[in-house]
Amino acid sequence: MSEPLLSVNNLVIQFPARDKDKITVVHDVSFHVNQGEVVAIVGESGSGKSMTSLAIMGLLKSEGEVASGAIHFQGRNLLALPKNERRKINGKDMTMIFQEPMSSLNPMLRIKTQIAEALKIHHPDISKKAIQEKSIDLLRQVEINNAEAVANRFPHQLSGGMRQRVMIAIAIANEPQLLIADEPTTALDVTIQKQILSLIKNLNRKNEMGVVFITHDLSVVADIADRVLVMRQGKIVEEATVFELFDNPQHPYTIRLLKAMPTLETDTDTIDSLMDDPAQLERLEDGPFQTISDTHFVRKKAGADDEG
Amino acid sequence: MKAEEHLLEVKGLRKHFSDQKDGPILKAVDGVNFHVERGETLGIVGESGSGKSTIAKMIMQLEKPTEGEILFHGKNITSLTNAAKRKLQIIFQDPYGSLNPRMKAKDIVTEPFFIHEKMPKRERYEQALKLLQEVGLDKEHLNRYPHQFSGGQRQRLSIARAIALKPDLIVCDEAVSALDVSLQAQILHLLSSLQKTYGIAYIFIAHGLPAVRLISDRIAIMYKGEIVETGTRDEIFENPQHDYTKSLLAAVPPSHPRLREDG
Repeated sequence: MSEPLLSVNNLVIQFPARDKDKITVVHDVSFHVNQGEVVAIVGESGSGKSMTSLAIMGLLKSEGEVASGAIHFQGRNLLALPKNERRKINGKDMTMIFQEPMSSLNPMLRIKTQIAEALKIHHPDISKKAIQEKSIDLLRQVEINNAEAVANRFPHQLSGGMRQRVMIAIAIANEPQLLIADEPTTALDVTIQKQILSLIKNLNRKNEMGVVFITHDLSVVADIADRVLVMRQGKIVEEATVFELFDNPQHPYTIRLLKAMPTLETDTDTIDSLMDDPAQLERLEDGPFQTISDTHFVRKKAGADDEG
Repeated sequence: MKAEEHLLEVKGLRKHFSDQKDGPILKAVDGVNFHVERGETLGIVGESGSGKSTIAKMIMQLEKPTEGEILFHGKNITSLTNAAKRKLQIIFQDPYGSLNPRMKAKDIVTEPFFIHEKMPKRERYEQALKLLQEVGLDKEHLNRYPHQFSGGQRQRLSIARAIALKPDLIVCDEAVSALDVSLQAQILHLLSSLQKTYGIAYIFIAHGLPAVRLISDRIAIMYKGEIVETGTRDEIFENPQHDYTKSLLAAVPPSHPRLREDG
């Protein structure tokens, strides 16, 4: 098998605390993403999913730090790269989109200026004409119909869905190998969410782009992922192909998440069974990884079967 | 039909906004009629900008309708006495924005008493504890400030405040939209058990169809300021009529990878 596009090994992320001991927010996380693969990281607020993705991008705020572990991208150890080498990767081979496009777009600059910026940083010699053509082409790629008009607008003149499209256009400007999407549809209406998801799927297929898709919504996972990592309290508790996860969830936490997933098929009575039973939360404690299949692993205490 | 028969009745409600004099008019709500019965949940679904929150604001008299009227217990809401107003409460999406950060939980949940009636300190404390317990919080939470609660707990706190005066109707404006899925389920459960105990009616405003389906008896679908379809829960989900309702249902992500559109 060829080398994975991205591999994360035994990643530990810590934050300083007021007392001496540091707080570990990501514990011993290992996973990989192959070229052209969509890997979803699922977990609730505080599970460490966003921290993991920020570490991959090298965007952890100054207080947080990778205490140990390795992150390899296209065979290169990202943690060992000097900053200027690192900058050549971000925004080019590896890019990220966030939940709230308004906070990632500069409110003072026209859309075309912001796309041009992304192009120029990695291609200093590119001509004005080429930038203009490429910008319009990118906006068309993200299915914006009146690309010329939108290029001249400011972010606040666009709807939330349009802004997210612009973000994606900037993210894919340099044909990245890996896109990290952190809850990119969470703030959007369902009909817009559907369009953005299918846009990411198309780009993934057309460009063989690897995708790390971070979400708390399992129905989005069902729609887009090839493989899934379930995170809880900074640890991966289950890893499986999307079918294995939905057909044969192993970890009590995964089972709980699947049960809590509001779907159009959920029985009204099932919400009654979801109330927090402290005894059941105890059983969510994890153990060492057990192998269910070649692609399915779960952290579980030995003999802790048949729960949930 | 006599107006008194409904707990809440909304007739010909319009809200038009305009930036300047003679400027373009935004028809946020444009001729909406609906009613809510005692003890039932009416779900109002629509996407951003459909006008659903503007309706909530008009019911709470935070916005003045351009046209139309809202009757609560058969009386126009603008003519309600204070005693009648307390039977109408609201819960917002972001409890952070609606809970005073400098007040302790016990004061937050009993503030409604303070406003609406006089109550000795001791009794107020007991009431606070009772309310917190009602929403799954406890003694240890009495003296905490909003920032010391998790998102789900904060929403429980705002529910405790909303039920303090035993309202007949609570408007829930995107009350679970900001919460993680398992917390959503818990809050929905809490709301429906409070409804069973106290017979509270809800107007449950949301953009997520699955959550609305779990809690609503009837559902109104809003699009561009108008209600395009109303029906019982089963009518809307089993047999949607309006194209917009159909497209909303079609956009709900699948519950299993097997159900993906592209296989």
